[in-house]
Amino acid sequence: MALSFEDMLDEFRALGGIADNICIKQGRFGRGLFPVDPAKPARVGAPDHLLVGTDHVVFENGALRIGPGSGLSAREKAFIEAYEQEFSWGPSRGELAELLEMFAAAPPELRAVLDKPLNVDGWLAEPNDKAVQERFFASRAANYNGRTVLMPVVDLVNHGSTGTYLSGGGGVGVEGTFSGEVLAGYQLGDPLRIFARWGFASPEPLGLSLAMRAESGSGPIAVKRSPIRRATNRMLYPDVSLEDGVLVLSYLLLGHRDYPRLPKANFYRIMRDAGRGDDAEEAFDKIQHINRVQFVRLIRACEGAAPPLACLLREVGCLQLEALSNYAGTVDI
Amino acid sequence: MPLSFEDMLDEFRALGGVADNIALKEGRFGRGLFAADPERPVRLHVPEALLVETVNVAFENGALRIAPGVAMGARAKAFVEAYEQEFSWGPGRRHTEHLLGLFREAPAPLRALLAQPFNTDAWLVEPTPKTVQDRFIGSRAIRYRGRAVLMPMMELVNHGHAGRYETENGITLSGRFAGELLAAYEICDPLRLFNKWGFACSGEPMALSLAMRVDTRSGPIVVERGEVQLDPARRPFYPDVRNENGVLKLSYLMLGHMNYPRLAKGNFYRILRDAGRSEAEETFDKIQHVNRLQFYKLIAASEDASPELARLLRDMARYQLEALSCSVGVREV
Repeated sequence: MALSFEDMLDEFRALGGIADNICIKQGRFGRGLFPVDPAKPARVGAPDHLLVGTDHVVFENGALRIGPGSGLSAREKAFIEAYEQEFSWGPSRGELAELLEMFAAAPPELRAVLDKPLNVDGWLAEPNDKAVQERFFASRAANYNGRTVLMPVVDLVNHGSTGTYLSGGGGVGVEGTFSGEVLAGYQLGDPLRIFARWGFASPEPLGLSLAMRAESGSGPIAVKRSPIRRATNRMLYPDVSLEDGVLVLSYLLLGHRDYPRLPKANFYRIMRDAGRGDDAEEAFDKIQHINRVQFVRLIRACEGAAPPLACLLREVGCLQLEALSNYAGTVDI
Repeated sequence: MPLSFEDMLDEFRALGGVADNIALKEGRFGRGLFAADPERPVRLHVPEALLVETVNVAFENGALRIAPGVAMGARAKAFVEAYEQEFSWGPGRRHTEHLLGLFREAPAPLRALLAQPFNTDAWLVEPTPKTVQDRFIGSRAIRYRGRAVLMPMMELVNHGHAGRYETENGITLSGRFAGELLAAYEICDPLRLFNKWGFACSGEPMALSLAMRVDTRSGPIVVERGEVQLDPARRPFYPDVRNENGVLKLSYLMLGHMNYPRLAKGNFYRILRDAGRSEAEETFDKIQHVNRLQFYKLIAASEDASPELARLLRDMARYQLEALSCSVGVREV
């Protein structure tokens, strides 16, 4: 018998989960969690013992099962398997398979752009069971205390900027007062990074450079797309090193909706510290230009794709271009 | 009896026209003129006597006629009218009607965006015989000695950068052409080409700013979209600049040029320096940003249009964005 949302929540609470003032509805991003009473705080939290390491997950006849050795009780195991079947893996697998099929059928020119320089490799795999399972883990699992885990119920929260995940020794959750859907930021990244992992288009406040090597008048610069580490002293400032005359940046912020002077400020500082200050303005322009051209290329390459995929990728391209465009002037840092 | 291309050429020559080594074929841009033998030079010349001022054109029962009283021989008049029926207005009106129909059916938000800030008004009119005629004339006329004229034969040359019109005792195009005969209709950007001729053209080397007002800490700036004057006595792509009641007005502003990527900022920084204004870098970034955002919006708004119009608008927006992006570094002007 199918598990209703209310029955599922009852069992979730009985197993130590928190689900206060939440219901499930269709929203802008498909199915998601909403506050029952938007005036009151909403809270959802999965306790530590319900966070299942993906290494304990197996797939049997299309169903997600918890393998032996997970340390879960029979009741917890039954809950998670039923939850996954009804609310997470069950409904997601078809959507993921469909998306992978569309990517597989995309024109070679489009697949080539997605592969390099956009590095959207995860979506270019052969659409088989293994690829669908991998995409599911990539989009549903989170890093928790050094482990990659599934987060029952919490994974129903869609991505957005209204809330943040609370993660500690006791589990993972989201809480706050939400006028509409309960949303939380999956990751600090740009539209491309969000798309590469989760497969949807999302407006983000910042735009990062593609990984590239740029030859500038003062010498080569290599930009990576490593994860953003939150530094206490300077905001969105990458790790910088000099390797055989190449200035290597762990990532590079090129645009920020809320801090439009920051991208150039950071980059000019990096260049000044490297003794390349005179070349900073032109090098920044060049890196911006190279980035923009790639996303314009993406939009061009979408013309031959199936309409739903073309529309999705054009939206990603435009959102990334918009995020990249948010820079104006500089400030001394 | 329909006039064949060869018969038309014979009559054109008999009336003083020159058409050496010319053939009519289907090319990348539809029907166009080609070198019959690409190894040999081409020469096409329309004598002044065959240039018809657009104010002297009338339409009777769907046919293009030269108005009575025009100082033009009866044979030349008969030639121009037959030429228009067979090779220009005759086939061209259907295309113009079709295009106006696509714009009329476009969703309201897209039409609003095309009206402002893109000023695509000419394509947003109700398709009636009068508007089709106006659009046809608007898209076929060329400036010759301060007058708007139709140029039979020469107007079969599609837009491109392989050749240049000479305007000495008529209009001439000559040289060697590996493929199609192409010549620049006007010095402008993809948006202006689209607004005037209704097609999207790749390879335009430069982009001008949209008309806008930008408020800076050192005072307001108004950017117009006036014509680009490439007078050798002037600095290249340097607009007319005037100060009106504290508002700095630029007749146009080039924001990017594929062949001169440092020129856009070079000119702008010079204008602001001469005007005693500060914050040139930040203001330039802002103007670029505002421009880019409008074209991203256009791409997004095109999603709801008919596939044919959506593709046309996306192509134009991509070409404009590519040209806008060609601003890298700055040079002293």
